[in-house]
Amino acid sequence: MSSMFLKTIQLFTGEPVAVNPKLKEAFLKPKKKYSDRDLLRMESAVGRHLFGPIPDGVTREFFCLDDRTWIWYEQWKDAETLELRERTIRYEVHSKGVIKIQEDQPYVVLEGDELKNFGIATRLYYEHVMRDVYRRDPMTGHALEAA
Amino acid sequence: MSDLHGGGHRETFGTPVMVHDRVFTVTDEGMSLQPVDPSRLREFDPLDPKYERLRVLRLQELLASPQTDETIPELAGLSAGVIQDVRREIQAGATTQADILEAEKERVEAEKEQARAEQADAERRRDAGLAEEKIPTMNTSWLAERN
Repeated sequence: MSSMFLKTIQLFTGEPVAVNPKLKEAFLKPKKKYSDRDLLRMESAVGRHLFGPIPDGVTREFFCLDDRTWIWYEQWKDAETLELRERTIRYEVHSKGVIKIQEDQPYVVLEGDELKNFGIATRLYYEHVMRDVYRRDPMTGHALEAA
Repeated sequence: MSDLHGGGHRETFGTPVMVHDRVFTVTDEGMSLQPVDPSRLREFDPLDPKYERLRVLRLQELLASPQTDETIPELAGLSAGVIQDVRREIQAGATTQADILEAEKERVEAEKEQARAEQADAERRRDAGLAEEKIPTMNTSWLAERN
């Protein structure tokens, strides 16, 4: 945006724009830093689509919260009462297994198909988020070359 | 010739690396990563950059293998750790990725804005028809908040 601004001025004036170096530096810096929430939103925009089409009226989020925690969130409208309902599931990753935590329900250690599905989801999430959000090679963590 | 020999990282041969609660080391010429009993280790610093190479190798090994019930927690934890590192890097540095992220963020915000508009429209229509119906509580989770 900022370099485009400078180029636009140059187009009008026909001459290179002389800019105070400090001012230029300020222009070319990213305008803000990204909060954890910003990054989680961007990641979840990828994560929510890993499980197929999202039905109309349903809000879904899936993201990695921190080193150990993955979050599944869904919100939908109850067909009978028309009230909004929501469910948040927290998956805690430990070296010996994955624990599923839901409000008002006992902890469950994932196993069988549910564990396999969790494994596929987290793996896809990692690969897509690294490539599509951060432009990194998932195998090495290095920046991908611009196409 | 393995990456350990070829990449100038021979100093990592035989040294331990912490990978999501488990400690590995390269113990033979086959360059396979072998679990180590952490209780035997002294002065081991998992944050020391010289161990980074082994962590990447372990990640590559897991990504290249079919998942098993045993590797699912490890890969989920390891990939979450890599994502965390990238987040920190993005937040700390001024990189050109900021522009990519900005575009992605705008896309996500537009998607959310549309969802909000649809939600408001649906509620307006519902309220018109069901004036006596109790108005459902809006979702106030962190995902709906703006910075």
